[in-house]
Amino acid sequence: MNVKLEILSSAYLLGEKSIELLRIKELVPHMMTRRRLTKAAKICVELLNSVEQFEGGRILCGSAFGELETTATILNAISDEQPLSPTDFQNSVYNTAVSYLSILYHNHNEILTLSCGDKTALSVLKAGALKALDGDILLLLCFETLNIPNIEQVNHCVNYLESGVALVVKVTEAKATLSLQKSSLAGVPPSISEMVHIAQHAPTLERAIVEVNL
Amino acid sequence: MPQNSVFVNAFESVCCAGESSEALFEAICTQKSGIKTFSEFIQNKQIALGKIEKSFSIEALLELTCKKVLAQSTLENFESTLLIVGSSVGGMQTTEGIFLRDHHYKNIDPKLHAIDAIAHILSQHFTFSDDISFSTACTSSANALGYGYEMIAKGVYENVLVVGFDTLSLTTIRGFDALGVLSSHPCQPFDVSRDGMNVAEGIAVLLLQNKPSKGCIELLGVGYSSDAHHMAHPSPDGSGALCAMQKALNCAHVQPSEVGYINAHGTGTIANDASEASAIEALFGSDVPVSSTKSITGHTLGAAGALEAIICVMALQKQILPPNTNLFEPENKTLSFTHVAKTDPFRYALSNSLAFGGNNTALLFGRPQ
Repeated sequence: MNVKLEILSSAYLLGEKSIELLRIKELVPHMMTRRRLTKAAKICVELLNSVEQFEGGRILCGSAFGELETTATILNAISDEQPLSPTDFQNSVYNTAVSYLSILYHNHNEILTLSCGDKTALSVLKAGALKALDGDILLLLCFETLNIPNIEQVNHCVNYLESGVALVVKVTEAKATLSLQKSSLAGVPPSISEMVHIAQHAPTLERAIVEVNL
Repeated sequence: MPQNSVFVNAFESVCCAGESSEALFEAICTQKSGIKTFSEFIQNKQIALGKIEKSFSIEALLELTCKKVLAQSTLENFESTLLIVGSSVGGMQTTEGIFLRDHHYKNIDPKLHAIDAIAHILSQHFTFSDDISFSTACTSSANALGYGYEMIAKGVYENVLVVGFDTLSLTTIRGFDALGVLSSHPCQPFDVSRDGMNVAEGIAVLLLQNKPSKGCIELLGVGYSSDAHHMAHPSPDGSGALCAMQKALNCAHVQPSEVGYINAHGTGTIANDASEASAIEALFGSDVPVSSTKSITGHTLGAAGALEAIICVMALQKQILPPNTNLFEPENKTLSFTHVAKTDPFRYALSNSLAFGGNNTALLFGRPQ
């Protein structure tokens, strides 16, 4: 089945080491709440506030490696026989970032997280297309936060250690205007690449529409 | 509106309470818990866990369980089947083993670390049409089943294989210990004296198809919601769980009074059970038999949704209400808790899965008309 998704709004963030989120104090003014957010959650907050036409509906999120920073902190604590931080543990699940979005913005809708390796962005688009058949507007998100000490021991291809992309989508019957492919930007995490490609090109089109093959 | 019906035509599972689904259901009905006490996971502390008794390799367990499901089915292979995985930690056990040995990341294969590791391993043994993996903590495989339901109901696929899988890892055991929610004995869901949960491991595999096989059970609806309350605590009034259950019933056009059994998430923690009991009471009152089977299986985290889906399917097939175990004095005085396995005709069973982040999923199963 082929489903065409219209991109109503898009945003993306790429940082070679770290993404500087200048608006985060304004977006999450409560300091204790802000301090609990993971970097991925902050990136998702920034992205949510950068897109238009999404008024708090369903969200699908994807990340190949999830909350890598808290995962690494936990692993090192175990290795050093140190006690784990309860906040680190609750912040280590893959759905942490979008769960904070639901809490911050009182979103009680269906919010799912996928993790499909290099195919993650494509899978988010496929899942988004399936869900969007119900007729509502969805927010699709992808992120990677790989900026941890010694990441070079396993990272040989990603130049942007922190990244995130958001697409606001709905189903359309109109013809596709944008191909579904990996971004031509070198060093973008493969797991978010197709969505970055869409976010790069959608603003240049009168109507940005991609065809997703389920 | 669904175009197609969705049937559970084959399934198999392995957990601490049984090396097969039949053994698991027998253990539940005879109230023989698979949970045991261990002292090697946390220094100077005994905790009760649901560990699969025989040692196993992740790869062999995944392959064997899926082969058993394939053998039960009319399929020759999985080439036209969508694989949907639900897992909370994916390959974390493998990663921990390497990192704690080497103290560096160099020998960790990213493909075998992440959630996608399960699909990656299975793709070495089977060819699937496509695959997708969900990771929403303890609702992971319930959400995988929900996605499979939608894929078939909307006419995209005819065959979907759902795999719920999580292994014990130090990250989850010590993480839940840090939260202060681990019990040192088999858990007591809904009991006034409950003192925590039992982390467990397990695999549960279900084949969903658009055409029924003999004796199959129908997956009739799914409901999703978010608490929007707290990362690790459910909303005290259970409003998120209530919303998910209502949506599952609405999806299937079934009334609360028609439901004959609820398999609760029921982890044995103070917060979860009080919140979930409130939600069930608000929607069903005292009319529907309720049990949690985690005192037998432990909490298999990302696999729990699929494992408890199998328990609901078998309860419907056998027309037996699975009992609670270790429930001596219910905290909630309204709900109708089952205390022994009971044969009783019923048409619909509801399975709840609730997770970190306030992620809630309810699945409704029923006997086909």
